[in-house]
Amino acid sequence: MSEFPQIVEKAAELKALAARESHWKRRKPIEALLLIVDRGAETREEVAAAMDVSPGTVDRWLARYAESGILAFAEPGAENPEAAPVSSDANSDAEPNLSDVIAQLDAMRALLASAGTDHEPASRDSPTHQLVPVAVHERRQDEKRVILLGEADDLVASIIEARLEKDGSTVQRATDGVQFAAMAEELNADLFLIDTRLSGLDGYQISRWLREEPRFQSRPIVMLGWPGKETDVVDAFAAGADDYILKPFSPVDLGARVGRLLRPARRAA
Amino acid sequence: MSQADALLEVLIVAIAGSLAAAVLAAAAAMTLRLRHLFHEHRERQLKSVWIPRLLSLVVDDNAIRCDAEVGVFSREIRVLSQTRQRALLELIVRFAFVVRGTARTRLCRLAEPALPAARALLGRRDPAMRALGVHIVGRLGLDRNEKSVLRALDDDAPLVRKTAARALARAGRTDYVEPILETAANLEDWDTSEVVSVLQDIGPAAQPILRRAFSDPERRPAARAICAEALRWLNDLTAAEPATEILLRENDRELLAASLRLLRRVGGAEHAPAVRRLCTSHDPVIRLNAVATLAATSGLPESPDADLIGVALADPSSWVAIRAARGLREIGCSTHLRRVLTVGHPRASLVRDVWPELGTSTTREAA
Repeated sequence: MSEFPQIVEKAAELKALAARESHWKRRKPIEALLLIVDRGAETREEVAAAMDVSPGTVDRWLARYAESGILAFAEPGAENPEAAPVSSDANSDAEPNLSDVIAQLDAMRALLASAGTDHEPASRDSPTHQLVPVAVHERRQDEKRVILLGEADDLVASIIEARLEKDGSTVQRATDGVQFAAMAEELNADLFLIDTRLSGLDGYQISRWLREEPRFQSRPIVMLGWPGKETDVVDAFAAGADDYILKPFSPVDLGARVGRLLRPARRAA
Repeated sequence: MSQADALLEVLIVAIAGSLAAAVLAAAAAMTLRLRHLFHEHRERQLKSVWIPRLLSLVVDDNAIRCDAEVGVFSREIRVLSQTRQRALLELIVRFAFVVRGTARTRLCRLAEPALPAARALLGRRDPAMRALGVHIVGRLGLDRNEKSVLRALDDDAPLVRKTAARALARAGRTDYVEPILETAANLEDWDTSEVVSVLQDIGPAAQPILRRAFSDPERRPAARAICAEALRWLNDLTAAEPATEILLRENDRELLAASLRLLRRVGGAEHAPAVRRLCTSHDPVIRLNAVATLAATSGLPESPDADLIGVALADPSSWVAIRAARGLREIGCSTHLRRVLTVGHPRASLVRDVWPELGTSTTREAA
């Protein structure tokens, strides 16, 4: 029995979408859905194996298309027993990996989507409270820019905060990668400033995740790193960073680079 | 006095003694605790005053305002006690480690009046205090205290010498490469990777000096091996020729192994002949590195080197055999590996063990 009867029903719509879409990143999820239509893949595990991705990634793709309204799916919370709320793993000793966190975040989003638009807002005690996605909106010119900083070192963080707040931005700080991912979901940050060596999820993993999320794709990412291997910078850009700042850094230089990326013209582009 | 009375007297004295000792210990503990609390309070006070000032100095781009502030703060620092000056220097040096450019220059100027307090530490008996002195002076006033830091390279304590080497390397000046190399070669407890990371701090500008030292037969093999490692991490392609020369002429195990590792990173097929002859060395460390380097430099599955690496699969040292298996996989020659698995080779179980790390396709084949 197929897990995806709705997708099969929407085969024509899906094929039309595949014909329109040329960007490889956006094509990949569509190709996954076409596998269901054309090759009769019946479970997300089959799709994941065929696409060489994790089942969590397939869930995410499905959720993305469900959200965008292109396809209507059955309630993911009911159909996907693995999509557990974030709190279910909150006390686990195991180090979280990116796909787990993404799967959890997507499960939250899918649950909220399935609840409809007129549902009661999640209470503070709800496990979903921390991860309620915020609709991305463009800020007015006079509004303060929000920068999400992922930095474990208090001193480095305080220097960066002082510099960016002097430039008129508001800085929110996460001290590890998992907290950063949760805050990214919660805040409507204009720019992400991430240390490459964050614990939990490192800067590269976070950057890749942000680039895969349509909501954050246009948001600039600046990575911060200590001198190490020469490939660090290459890896950062490959992960989707817009700029890479080496520590020790010049606070004035950092302010200028962040300011350049926050300029409206740059953001619109 | 009866015996019982005497015993009672001894007991009373013992109890009184114990009580006195307990009271004294409690008093000492309280004194230490109070002292600690006092220091903590002073440190908090110092931080609450100085951290906002230091933050303002490092993030401000108004040079005139900052210069004026540095002048005012310097006058304040001059009247502080030496202990307070030292505590402040420790705070400033933490800032100086994370910022560069104008921000660090301002910090150095601010620290100047307090530097005599750090210099005073260089003469202390405790090596940790001397190292702290070198650390502060090296970061905040190397230009004016270069001689003191260079002298610290000959200190009796390895900790002080290492701190001095690190402080000099961070300055990024190539004239410090030689003294650092000399110190490093004399330090038995200094790990090679530690020295390499120090030399990396100087950056690519150090490459010509390191290459010269690496090729110099008059120099100690330990120092040359360190140069080889540093050149490897700096990806110095021009070091491949001197490395090949060393493989043909030298016998020192450490130097040969380091040269082979260097060639593995920067060498090509033209360097393979020099590597080949070391695949049959009597020393397993040399054989191991030679096999790995040969796989990296020859790079073709149909080359005769593949057979040589295949022979190393039967090496008495299992480490060499593992390297050979990985090497064969690297050059895309799974025929040897498959043969080992099928003909009941003595290393078949080893190959099966390392197979999962060799790649997905081969894992399927092994299954």
